[in-house]
Amino acid sequence: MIRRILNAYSIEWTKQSRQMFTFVGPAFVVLLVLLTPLQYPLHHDAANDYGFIAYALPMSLNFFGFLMLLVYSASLVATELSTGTIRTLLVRPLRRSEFLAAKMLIGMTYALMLSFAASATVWALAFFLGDLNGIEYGGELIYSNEEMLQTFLIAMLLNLLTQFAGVAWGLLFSTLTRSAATAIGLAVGSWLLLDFLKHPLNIAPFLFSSYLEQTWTVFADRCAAFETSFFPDAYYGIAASTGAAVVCFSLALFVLARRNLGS
Amino acid sequence: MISALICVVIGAVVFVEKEMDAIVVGRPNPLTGQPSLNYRHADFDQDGLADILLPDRVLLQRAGEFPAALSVPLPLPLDKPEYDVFDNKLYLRTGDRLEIHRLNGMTWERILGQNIAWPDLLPDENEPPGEMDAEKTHGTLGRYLYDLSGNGVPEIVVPAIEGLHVYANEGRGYTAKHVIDVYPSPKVIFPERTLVWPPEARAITFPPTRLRFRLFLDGNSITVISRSAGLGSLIRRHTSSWLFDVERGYLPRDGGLAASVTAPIPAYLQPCRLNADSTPDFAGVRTYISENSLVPEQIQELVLTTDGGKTLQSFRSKSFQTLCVFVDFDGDGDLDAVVESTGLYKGGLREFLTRSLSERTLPHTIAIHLQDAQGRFSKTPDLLKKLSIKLAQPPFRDGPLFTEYQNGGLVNITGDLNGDRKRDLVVRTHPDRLSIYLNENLAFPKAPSRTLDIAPDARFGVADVDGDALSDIIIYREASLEAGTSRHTIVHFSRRTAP
Repeated sequence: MIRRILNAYSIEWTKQSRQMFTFVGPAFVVLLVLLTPLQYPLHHDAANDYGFIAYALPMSLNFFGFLMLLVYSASLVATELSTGTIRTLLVRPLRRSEFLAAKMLIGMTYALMLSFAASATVWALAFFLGDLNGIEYGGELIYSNEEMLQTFLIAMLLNLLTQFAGVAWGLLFSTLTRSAATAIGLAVGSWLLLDFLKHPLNIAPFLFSSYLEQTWTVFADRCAAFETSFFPDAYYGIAASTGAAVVCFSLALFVLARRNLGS
Repeated sequence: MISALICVVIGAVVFVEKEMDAIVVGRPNPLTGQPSLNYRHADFDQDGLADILLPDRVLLQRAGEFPAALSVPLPLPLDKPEYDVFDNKLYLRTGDRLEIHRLNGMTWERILGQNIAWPDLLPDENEPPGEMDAEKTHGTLGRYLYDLSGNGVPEIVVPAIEGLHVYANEGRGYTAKHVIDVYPSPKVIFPERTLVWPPEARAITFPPTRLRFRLFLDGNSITVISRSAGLGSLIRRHTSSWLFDVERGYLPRDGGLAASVTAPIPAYLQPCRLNADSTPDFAGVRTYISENSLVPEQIQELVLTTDGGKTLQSFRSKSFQTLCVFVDFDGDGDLDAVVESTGLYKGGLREFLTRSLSERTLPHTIAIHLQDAQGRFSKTPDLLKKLSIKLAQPPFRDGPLFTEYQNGGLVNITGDLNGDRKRDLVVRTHPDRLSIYLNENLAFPKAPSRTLDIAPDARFGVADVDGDALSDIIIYREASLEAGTSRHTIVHFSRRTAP
């Protein structure tokens, strides 16, 4: 089963990599990071520029990047449904669940691409145009470079988990409709709607999207020499993201398994 | 005035509600937790209960009440006087006269009246003369009586331009004693540039001088704190103390001089007394906007030193302005640090936006850092109280309650409501509700000990109004009128037992 999923993933990725749309998101994310110094100038002036990383990443990755991720993952199955290519794909020895798992992996790869592109660019800018020293406060070293890198990696990993939940969210809407545009609209629209209603409905702690930037705020706080911890909020974030990913993927599986793939 | 109406029992505390529009309680001093008040306490009728001295009258207390019939107008000479009180006697100082009155029944009996030529007062940059002063029909409450000699008869101390003028009463009224020059040397302010052209613009001007210092009178000691340039933007604070020598005509006692200079400290650190030791303490709060976040997070930084600037301690939090940063939380006589933080910024920019647009409940945290016997404040909080503050509107609407929250007016930890010397917490958790958390063994209960109703457009303060050593809760509403501001105040008097 895993081999079939990996084969399907490999074929799908080859197909996706030939489409320009796949690289539009990462390109825009990189562009956004490259433009950030206009707003947050970088100089070789011994002033610490970890703050630039904390400033640029959430904006590019969790604002624009997450929107692109939803658009991308919402179109993954819907395009196959609308063109009917899903029927030819499933002629192969491939179950619908395996097909959906491969699509999920494609979405996760896309999330990794976005994160890697944004991170590599932001670190390169901070390294070459600014100064990355340990975080000091009152003449005392609070966080060394190694600790900051470690914080960044933890923040990135936790953030990826939330983004994977976003992929599952997009996939769910992708299986609900044959139209890619409708799927994208539903995925993005429902995300925005829930975000607006979650506080009045008191459901904010249970929504994965509430934790999208949470980990970066810890990184930003440490850049300002605040002694903060990822936990316990990270626990809630992990639980909400994992729960959302499992529920959305299961629902998508349920919908796709019962869908009539005929025209 | 409507008399007492409602009595509510909360554990060991009882609240008795009473309308008292004359009472004004302002914001506390952030470094001491002491609220600014428009009244003073004295037992004018000698019945053992504190009466309230207002700028225009005295409210006499009877059995915990302030009946309207027992309101005595203050003696008002032609010139608007500055009132002070000592040993339950009322002192009036006008432009050229001093009078002392005591209350006899419901009338004032003058026991001294004399003419005195007062010196020109030293301008106080902290209290500029108000434009409305000329329109006031009553005097003001001042503080000029100090018992420097310790004989039970107060001296009058007037800070004037040339020094401190001391007037003593040696049986036949007050007479001027020495002018005590304890002020630091004034500094010359050199003009930044002088014009040499055109020729008619050339002029030699005498550079102005500036004198900035703080003067504290405590018992028979006098302390003067001034500043000088330190390193870069840092400054040094110079502290000089003297003892008054009564036998030498109140001149500072020879050899009684104590002087100290701090290490360079930030200019915003102000002198204060955080503990009982003789070393001057300095503390201050600065706020700035974080540069590391997309959200314009306001950071509040409390910096303090209890050892003359040798070591600085700081506490930072994401917070709007807070009401006070020091209170004697545990009742040991030393002030403890209060660090509040808002949850409005939690979760990054998108969460901040959605919360600002749609959330009415704001998470708020209060951390208490106790001061130990060495004058050090604990690095980690000794108490952490998490609160939820519900606003009438989401923050984006910028309603009056959110403005009040930003000004620190929804959380008050300055009062001791049940008289155990430990600070209790009063929070406006809802637009129409005050939640009271009594300090129980240096911890606040999870649920409020008691709640009080508050009108949505009202504000509140905490102060001891009736002088029984229990803090009371003052709820007031202000309305702007063409002729000024009208104020309606309800005082919730704390009582240990039900009346």
